[in-house]
Amino acid sequence: MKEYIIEKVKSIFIVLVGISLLSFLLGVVSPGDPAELSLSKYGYSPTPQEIEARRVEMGLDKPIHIQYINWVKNILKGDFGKSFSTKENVTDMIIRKAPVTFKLAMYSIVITSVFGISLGVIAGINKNKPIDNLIKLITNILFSLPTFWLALLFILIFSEKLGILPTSGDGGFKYMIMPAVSLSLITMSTTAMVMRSSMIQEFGKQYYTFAKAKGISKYDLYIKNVLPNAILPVLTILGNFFGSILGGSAVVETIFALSGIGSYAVESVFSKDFPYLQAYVLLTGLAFVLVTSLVDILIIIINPKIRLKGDIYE
Amino acid sequence: MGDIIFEDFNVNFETRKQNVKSVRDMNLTIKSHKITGIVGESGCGKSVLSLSILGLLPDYAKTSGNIYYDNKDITALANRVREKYLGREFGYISQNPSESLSPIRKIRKQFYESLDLVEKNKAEIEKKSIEILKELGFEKPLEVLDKYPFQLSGGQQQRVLTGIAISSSPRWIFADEPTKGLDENIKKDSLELFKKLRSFGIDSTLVITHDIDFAKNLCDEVMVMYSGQIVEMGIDVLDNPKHPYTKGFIESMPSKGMKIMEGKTLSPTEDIRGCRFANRCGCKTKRCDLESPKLYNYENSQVRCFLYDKGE
Ligand SMILES: Nc1ncnc2c1ncn2[C@@H]1O[C@H](COP(=O)(O)OP(=O)(O)OP(=O)(O)O)[C@@H](O)[C@H]1O
Ligand code: SF4
Ligand SMILES: [Mg+2]
Repeated sequence: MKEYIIEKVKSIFIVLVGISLLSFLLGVVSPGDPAELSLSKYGYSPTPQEIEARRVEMGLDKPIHIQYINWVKNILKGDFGKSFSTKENVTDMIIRKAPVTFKLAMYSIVITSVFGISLGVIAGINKNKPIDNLIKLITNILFSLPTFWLALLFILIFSEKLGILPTSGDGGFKYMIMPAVSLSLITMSTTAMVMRSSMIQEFGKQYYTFAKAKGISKYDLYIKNVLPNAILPVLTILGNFFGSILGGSAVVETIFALSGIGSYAVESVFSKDFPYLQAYVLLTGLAFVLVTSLVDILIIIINPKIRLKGDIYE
Repeated sequence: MGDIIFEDFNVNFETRKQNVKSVRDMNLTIKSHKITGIVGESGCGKSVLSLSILGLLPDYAKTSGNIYYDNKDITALANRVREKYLGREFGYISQNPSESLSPIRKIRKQFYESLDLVEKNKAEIEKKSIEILKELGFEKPLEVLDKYPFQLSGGQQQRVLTGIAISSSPRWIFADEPTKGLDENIKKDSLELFKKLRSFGIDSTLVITHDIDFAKNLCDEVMVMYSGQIVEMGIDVLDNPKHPYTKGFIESMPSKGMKIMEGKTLSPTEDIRGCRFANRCGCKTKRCDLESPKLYNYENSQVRCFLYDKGE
């Protein structure tokens, strides 16, 4: 158990170094001169002297590996630099915008897990029966629809036609429903499909036959015996989905005009606001790695075979 | 009452490429109030036969024919009704103990669940499970209940399975190789246990085994299965084998000199006109390739071989 976690932490560290390198390089290979970009304002072009001074100030005259180390040092101090576009501290921007994205991601992961797992379990138990076919049909359709299209469809139906949900903007729970639902339908469908096949796979195992032979209730059989085994692979993908939800949230935030870190990331691509983009890539990467690692550790904790390794009776 | 009667019963596993016929034209009565043994080489259909009584074959298995129990054709019952027999009428001890318990649940939960069928009081359930585990030779039952399956040895897992199966006092127990992997001492305990299953309210037992001595010591009647069919059955089959296959099978046992039988078993996908043992049989005659032998009465036994066809 301990070794497992140490190993895990090691690999997390390596991945983090990789991500930081990537996001750093993003700034380096980006077109345009960062010193110039950081000085430019609407309707104002800096002079070459100003640019040169800024270059030194930003440490851009130093060799690239020194630049990287300085960049990392600053980040560890919580300093991601200033936005090229707004000239605001990137850290402040992130702190302001992150809660919106966080909420959206949380709602989506909850919808994905609750509905994905329930539908998958129901479908698996009723394999090849009408209810299973219906669930398969629905999840297949949802799975193949692009998120942005769903989002627009939702706006059309629930805002324009029925007028029961607000189209856009930040606010309470009501404002989150459509973004969260459109963001989670694909992952929810995939979760349902994986859950279903994982259940069915368990039905082929001997412990299932033995448990069934005991004559216990359907609830005991499926929920107490099969589900805890079948859910393990699903937990892994749920962790991975956290990444796709974060990525997808950029699109959804843009469509629903939510001022999260994702919608601004889209803007920052167009406005060449690389300090922000670097921070965004680094932080979402970090969040993804942490969540998937936590899930891995959770699975180890659930699995007594690893948790209690060596603790054999007699 | 209580007998299990097969009538023209078949089990097929059909795939796109082939059709595995695991149980063929089974006409057979397994008598209640007795301990019946089934022996036979690996793959001859023993497990499939017992699973078909329990109704636990995978859903892609195709069956035809009938199985009667208490004068009812249980193959005709709705799943929902048939499942009610499990635990109450039929108890099952499955083949591979290390794979037969949910790996991530403690023995306690898996044990209590089964007792819950007959006893609702929590304290009583605990008392009963401790009693049963003690009977099964566990000195510290409470410790066992708090273990996960992988923390037990194969023999311990085997006994836990037995305990779970008998805890709800079904009328029948179907045990699939209950002594596999047990060392000699535990095997003896296991023999004693199966002999006294009646004291747990179980009055009929079907036990599948590779262990001839175990079968001899335990069973009132023994059936020999080969290539999906019963080839011989009776009360002294193992002491006084008649079918050429039974003779060869006994001689191939480690305790009997381990003389490996020549030839290969006919594949379960293959249908032939004659006797399914003919390709390996030293006593084969012309008739054996042309006609399929029935079970003929001979002395105390029934034998599927023309050598014992007295033209009745
Ligand atoms: N689920 C299944 N799918 C396909 N074929 C199967 C299935 N179960 C059994 N069979 C086939 O049916 C035949 C009989 O299998 P069965 O498990 O009853 O053998 P057995 O006599 O119990 O052997 P063993 O002593 O090895 O347990 C074999 O040829 C096997 O391959
Ligand atoms: S019927 Fe013929 S081939 Fe079959 S076992 Fe008897 S003698 Fe051998
Ligand atoms: Mg078997």
